[in-house]
Amino acid sequence: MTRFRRIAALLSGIAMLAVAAALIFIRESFAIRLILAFIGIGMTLRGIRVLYFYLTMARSMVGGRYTLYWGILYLDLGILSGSLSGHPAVYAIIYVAALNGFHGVVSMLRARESRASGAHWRFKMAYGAIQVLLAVAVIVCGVVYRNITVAIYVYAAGLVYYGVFNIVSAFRRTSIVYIQ
Amino acid sequence: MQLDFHYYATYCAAYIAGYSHEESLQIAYSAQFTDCCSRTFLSMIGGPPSAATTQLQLELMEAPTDPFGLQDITRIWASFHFLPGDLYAERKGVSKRYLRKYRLICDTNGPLLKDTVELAAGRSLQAVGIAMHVLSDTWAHRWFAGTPSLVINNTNYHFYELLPAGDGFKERQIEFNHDPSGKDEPDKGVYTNSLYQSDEHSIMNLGHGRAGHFPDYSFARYKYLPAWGEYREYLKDNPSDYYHAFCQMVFALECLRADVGFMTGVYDFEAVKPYEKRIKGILGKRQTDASADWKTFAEELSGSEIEDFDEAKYREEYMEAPEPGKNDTFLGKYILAAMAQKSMVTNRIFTSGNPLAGISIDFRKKGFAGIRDFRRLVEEHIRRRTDD
Repeated sequence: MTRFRRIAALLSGIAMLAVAAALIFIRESFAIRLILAFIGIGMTLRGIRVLYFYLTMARSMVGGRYTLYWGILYLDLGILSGSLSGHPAVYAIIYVAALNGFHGVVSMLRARESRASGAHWRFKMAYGAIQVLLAVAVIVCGVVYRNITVAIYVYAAGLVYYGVFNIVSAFRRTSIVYIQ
Repeated sequence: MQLDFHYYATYCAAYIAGYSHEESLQIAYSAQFTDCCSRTFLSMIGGPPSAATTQLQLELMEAPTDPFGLQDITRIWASFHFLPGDLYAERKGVSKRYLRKYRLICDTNGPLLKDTVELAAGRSLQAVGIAMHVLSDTWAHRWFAGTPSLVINNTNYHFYELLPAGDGFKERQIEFNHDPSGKDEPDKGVYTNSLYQSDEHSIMNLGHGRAGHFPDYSFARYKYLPAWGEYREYLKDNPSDYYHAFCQMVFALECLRADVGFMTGVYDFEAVKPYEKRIKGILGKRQTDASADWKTFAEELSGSEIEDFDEAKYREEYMEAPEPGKNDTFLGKYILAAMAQKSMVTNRIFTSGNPLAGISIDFRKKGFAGIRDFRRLVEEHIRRRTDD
């Protein structure tokens, strides 16, 4: 990891911890909107960035169409996040949990791929597994038991976990193959 | 390419071209040293960091990938290991941003190669060695670029080795892994490469990292889809390419020794013909390190013992030399030659309208400006003109 990426990981970890703290102390309805805004803005910006990269660079690359697909997906998810803020909180909970669960599954699949190709995989697998577990916990609390407050607390706990994970990653030694 | 070609094969080429054993050793040493002269080494000996011709893994890990950092990386790799084939290449329907990267793709027999060899004319053996390293790498590293770029340097699953079978070849899909401690296994078709990173400027996407060390093996014949190739399959025949590299080196060295103009696309097959079978045998043998075979051949060729390459051989000489006399030491001459090469390539890239290697300033028109290390090159240039 380069120094710049380590600093970025550290700062994003601290930001996640700050947002997690905010979620615990603010009103429930505002917390939901904050979560959706956090995800919506992040996804939308990411989608725009990926689509810009596709239009200027990746469309001329072998396999570049996958960049287009990812860009459209991120943008759609970002717009969907924004559109959910006026709906009942339970839909937002399902959406956020599904997003995290999907992200967790992708992480686990990537960890499996890394394991098959001899790269480090345990950290990534643990990260993915915990994301999936948190998603399940959020759905159970928010949908099954209809306790939005607890669901928000579980989500905040997830943010604490991601934040700490990012901070630990920033200080972790990486032995990745560079070819000279 | 690796030590086996850069050191031993370059020695053989120099000897065949008419250089003496000692001169050939110096040329070969300089050629191989281009893969060792990092900022870490230079700071250890008190040399100028801007003379770096390579970057170590640790340096790459810490290298920033902001625009200035990318320019620094590109200056090193494009100047010494991935010499651009055509800085004015055209491609329809792409953005300017893409075209800049596209124009840095390394290829053989480009105008920059002529400039590289001519830059060494009338200069030190160290300059000759650097030119031979650059020339050799244009053959091994062709179709990759010396700048971090996913859209140029990426490879995918469509990567097949062509193994000799009877009168033809059979295909075997290459299995790449990312095990930092793993070794390449040519018998099984398993090789290490750098991890896929979707970030355009990731260091993983520098040069031929996504193909691992595979392009550096002289026995490798393979076909793959270069990221810039519009889904066209490209065939790389290293035994043939490396033989061409060797014969081109012989021609270039003959030109430099006789002080006549170098032309691209010319190979001295005649001079190499007596050794063709031997050389092709070495190049075609499936081994990840052909140093032993090349060394045996080199010693038979010259009748002299070839010492093993030692990165630290000339270190003490440079460190102990007084400041005014450092330029006259072996490493001092190497450093000047390296800075001249880097300066020339950066200038060509910049004047072609491509900012990826940074800004180049003509000191004769605008006076000295920019990186302080290059003042020593300017002073040497003035001294040479005064002596002439």
